[in-house]
Amino acid sequence: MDEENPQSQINISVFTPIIYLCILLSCFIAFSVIYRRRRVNNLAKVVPIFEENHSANVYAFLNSQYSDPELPKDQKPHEKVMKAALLRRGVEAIRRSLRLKEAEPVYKTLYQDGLIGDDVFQQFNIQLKLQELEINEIVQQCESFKKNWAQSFFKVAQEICFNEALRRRLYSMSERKVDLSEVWEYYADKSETEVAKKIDSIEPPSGASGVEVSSSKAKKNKNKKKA
Amino acid sequence: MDILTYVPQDKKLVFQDDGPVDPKLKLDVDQLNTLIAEIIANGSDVPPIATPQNFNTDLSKVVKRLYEGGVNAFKKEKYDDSVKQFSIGIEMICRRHKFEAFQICLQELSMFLMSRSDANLKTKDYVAAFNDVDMLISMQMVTPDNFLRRGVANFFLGNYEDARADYQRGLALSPGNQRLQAELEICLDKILEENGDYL
Repeated sequence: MDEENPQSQINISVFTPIIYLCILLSCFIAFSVIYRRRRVNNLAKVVPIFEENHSANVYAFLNSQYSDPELPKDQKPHEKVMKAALLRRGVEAIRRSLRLKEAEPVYKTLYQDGLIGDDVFQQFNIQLKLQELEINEIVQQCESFKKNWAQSFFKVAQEICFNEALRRRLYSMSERKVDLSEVWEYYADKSETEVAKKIDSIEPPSGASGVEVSSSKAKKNKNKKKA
Repeated sequence: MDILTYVPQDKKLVFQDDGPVDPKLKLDVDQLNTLIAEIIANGSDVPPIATPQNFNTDLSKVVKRLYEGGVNAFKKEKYDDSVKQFSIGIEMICRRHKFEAFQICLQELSMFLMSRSDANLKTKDYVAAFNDVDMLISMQMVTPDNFLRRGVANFFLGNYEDARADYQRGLALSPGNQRLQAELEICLDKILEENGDYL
């Protein structure tokens, strides 16, 4: 039997498997580095859905001064200023999260129907992840100022978010009035002359809610019809 | 953020020079300065969670007085005064702390906007009336009366098709509303007249 199957012995150096392993590992590392770099480059190319986050920038600016050991204490931002800045950052995060939540079903439906491409859907998913990271960071910052503040932080931030949105809408009303006037070619000086005359001929409203306008005008109209 | 400076004495942020600034950044800084002032004025370590109990009742009394003043001026047919009173009331509501209960603010505001819209209709400032009531409807105050208000404003602004849509939406909510029906009838006549047609 031994003669039929001669076994030849090959002497392998101890370094051979080690070299093999080294080559294998370096290949893996090279692949991983290149793959990650490419991924990061691709991610960097993705255009963010939202504009620049001014609230986060302002907070970072104040925080850099707050944590600067070289700055004298009286020049550092007050703790309540920091809390306010963090709340504003939280408000912006809530506003963006709400916007993303509103848009989520639309994006999903459009993607399923093939109406938007992978790049747009990926852009949306990246924004979702970034938003999660932003909220996690805010929670961490919150806890650094006061323990367990995170529990009430987002409730307060939500109230601020809604109240600020309401105020923005109210303050934009005067501008909107000008825009509407232009759109409808309705000018204040004209209303005093031409339009006022026209309206006077129709009969002005006489009720508290503009409601009696209807009845008076309706009567007048019916009389006209009868005539 | 090189254009910003923190002023420790005033505890607020200011822009370093008077040059052109991104309006969104300016709005953000203004909102932050207001919030800082409110948190400092509040006195507590961190702003409390909004509840009906910690709603500023002193300000509520002032707001209520302004509302009553506006209604009284309206009853006395001093419509311009009425508009002023309601506008001051709205300004007061805007000065509430931002971390106060939003829902209660909204209720107060809707009352003022409804009344100011009526007063604006009386002063024939139909664009302002439209603005007020349009905001009310966008705030989910979807009632037949609000559609009637917007319809009337649209009618006098010459937007007859929009007025018709408003009356019809009001009627969808309250089909038997005689005032809306009468208004719609007038509006439809006007649309026919505009088209050189008649019944």
